[in-house]
Parts: sequence; structure tokens; C-alpha cells
Amino acid sequence: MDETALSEMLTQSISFGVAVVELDTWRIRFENARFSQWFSPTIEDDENLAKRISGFNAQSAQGDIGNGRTHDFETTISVDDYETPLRIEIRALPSPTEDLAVVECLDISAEREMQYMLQAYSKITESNAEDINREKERTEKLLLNVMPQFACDELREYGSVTPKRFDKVTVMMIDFVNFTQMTIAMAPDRIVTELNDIFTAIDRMSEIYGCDRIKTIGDAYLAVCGLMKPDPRHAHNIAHVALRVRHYLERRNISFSEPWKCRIGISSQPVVGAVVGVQKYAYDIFGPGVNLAARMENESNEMEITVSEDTYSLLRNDFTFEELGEVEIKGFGPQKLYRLEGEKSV
Amino acid sequence: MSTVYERAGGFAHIHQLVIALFREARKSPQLKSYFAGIKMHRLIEHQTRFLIQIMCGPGTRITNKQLRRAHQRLDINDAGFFAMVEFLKKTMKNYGLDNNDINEVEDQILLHKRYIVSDKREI
Repeated sequence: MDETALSEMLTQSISFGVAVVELDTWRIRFENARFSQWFSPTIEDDENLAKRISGFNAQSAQGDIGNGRTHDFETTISVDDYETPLRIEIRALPSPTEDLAVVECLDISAEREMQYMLQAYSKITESNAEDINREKERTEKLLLNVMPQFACDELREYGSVTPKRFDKVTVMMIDFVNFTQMTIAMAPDRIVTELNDIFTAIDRMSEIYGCDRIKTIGDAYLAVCGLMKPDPRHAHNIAHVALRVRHYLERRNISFSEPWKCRIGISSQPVVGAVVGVQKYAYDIFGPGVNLAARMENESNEMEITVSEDTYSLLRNDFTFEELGEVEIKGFGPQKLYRLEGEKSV
Repeated sequence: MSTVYERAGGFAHIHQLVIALFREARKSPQLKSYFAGIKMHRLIEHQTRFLIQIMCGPGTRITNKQLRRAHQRLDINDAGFFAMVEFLKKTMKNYGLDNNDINEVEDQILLHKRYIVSDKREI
């Protein structure tokens, strides 16, 4: 076999399509078997490249080749009913006598398979990352329910929260009169439902005034203002909540057979905030502010709000009080107490 | 406890399995008609997600509804379904998966059979 015949045989048997075209007319002068198989001749003008390859842009190809570049594009054909992507490259063929170009067509199925699979996997990992982020946000939201943002940030970064002292805060303690007797007299599910309703209502009122529930212990409700976020009106906000809680209970007691009567105590002394516990951790507050608020609540009669002198001095211009005089308070000595009655009318 | 996906070497190895399944199943006389005319990217995405899912890998689950919708128009019968299962088992074996893992994957696919095989009674 001579060299020309060998070359012809090789060209016809290779797995990619090859054609030689005239540059000015795009007439196909030569095509190998694979090219014919992939781009079967059409009835009309079966020697024109533009008629044979879908997606071929003669103008753009002429531009590229005229500028000494290779013109390449991708097209898709159907082989045995299966989509087969091909990459087409057209470049000038060095010829001293004629302007010719060689067209090379390569099956890029394997490349596409890998690309599509990586896309599928990327989607999976992206959706996983989204799930993880959503879960992280949910966890953070839950954490923010039980501790302030700064404590949450510190816990996330260092794994622990350093106890911190807060001087400009007001603490409110709410308790219910005869709760122990009520637990005996009322059906358990009813008492829990009613207590839950009342605490939920207090939560809403606290939220409106930027106060935060720290915890409930049985029928006791402990809230603070100025701790999660510094607020110069911490005492005012707590006073507003206390008055609204009392009003809410007064209204509620009119229509319910079992009246819930609260006692409320307020103090504006410093507290220390810290995360307690390791597995079941919670943000809690301690110190004179909490203790004095509890003592104030203890000094209240039913549906009364008692405040310590520090709170009174912050509120006296805007709220009305009844002076209760000096009372010996356990752990604090003699203290001047005041009964919060309402807001001063403007 | 690790999953088949992890034991099989994660995506680094499973991608070869998906490609082999995609290429070879299209050549199988019994199966090739099911894949005719389906867009390559959709088929590969579906096979990747489904294989990862039945191997208990990561990612959003394909719901039974999605699985039914994807296979409904293919009109797959019992013979076609089991041929594909056998084909997958053979491919997994070729890629060195343990027999127990192959059986676990088979169990998972069988759980989804009713959403893949067309049941004329339900149409």
C-alpha cells in the first residue's frame, strides 16, 4: 500500500470528522466517513457546509479565519436517538494555490458527561450548604431567644461567655397570688394552659417595650430591660410593661371564672449576666437587681406594683406613685418603697 | 456508622459509577430504548442524584412524586426495572463495591420500584 492510500484509509477510519472546504463558498471538497455519518448530506445543496452543520455561522467563521484565528463552536447532533455534543474547529489550510479550510469535528460527550455530573454534584453540595446555613440560622435564632447577641457571639467564638456586670438595667419580677392553691383546685391541663396564655401575653408586652424575659420559675416571671441592648429608658419600659400586665389581668379576670392576681416588683440595681450550665445552658441574671425586685414583689399586695427607690428616682417625673415609707428589706436594710400607680397625664 | 456512599469512597469514586451506568445502559439492548431522546444533562443529573440518594449520600432527597414524574412517560415494565437493577449491581461489582453494600443499594431501589415502574391500573 502506498503512502497516499494509507493516508486516505487513516483519514476515513479516524473517530473524528474531517472535511476540507473552499473558504469563499464553503463548498465541501472532501469529507471523511465520520463527517458524512454525523452530517448526512441534505437533498439541496449537499456540498455546502452551512447546510450540513447546524449552528454554523459563515460570516463569523470568515471573520475569524481572515484574522488568522481558528473558528470554533459547538453543536449537537442526534446519533441513534441520543444527543451527541460535538466541537467544531475550522482553520485555514496552508495552500499556495487555493483558499481552503479544514473542518475538524470532535465528539465531546465524555467532556459534557463530566461537566453535567459536576453540575449535578455542585447543586447537591450547594443545597447541602444552604441546609447547613439554614440550620445555623435556626440555631442562632434559638440561642438569641435565651441569650443576648453579644453573649451568643462570644459563645460561638470562644465556646464560653464571660460573666458581665450591667449597671443600667431594670428588673421586673411577677408572681401570682395563691398559685399553689390554684394548682390544687384547678385541673392540671387548665392551669398550664391559662398560665401559658398569661406568660405569652406578658412576653408580647415585654417585646413591645424592648424588655426581655430571662426565665420563668413556676408562676414567677423575670424580665429585664437594658441588658440585651442598652436603653436609657430601661426603667420607663419596665414600668410600662408592669402597668399593662396589671391592666391585662384586670380585663381578663372580668371574663374568666378563676381570677389571676399578680404581684409585681421592680428594681433598678446592677445585675450580673452569665451563661450557666454546660449541656443545658441558659443565660441568667444574678445580683442585687434581681434580689431587690424579688423583695419588692414580696412587698406588693395583689395587683400592686412596688418599686425600689432607684427605680422611683428614674421614673418620678413621668409616673405617679404612692410613697410607702421606709421598710426593712432582708439583705438590703431599710429601703424607701413606692407603689407605681400609673403614668402622669401629659 | 458509615453509609454505602462513604464506604464506596464518596463522590470521588461514585462519579465513575454514574458515568459507567450512563454509558453502558444506553448500549444495553434491553435498556437503551428507555434513554432514547432524553436530554443528556437531565439524565445525568437524575442518575447522579438518585445514585447518591440510594447510597445514603448527601443532598436533597428526590421525592416519590418527582421519581414517578421522571419515569412515568418511559412506561417502564417489571422486566425493564429488574434489568436495570441487575445492570447497576453488575456495574457496582465492577467498581469493587462490597456484596453487602450492593444488597443494601438493591433494597433501597426496590423500595422505590412502585414509583419507577408504570402501573397501568393507577393511570
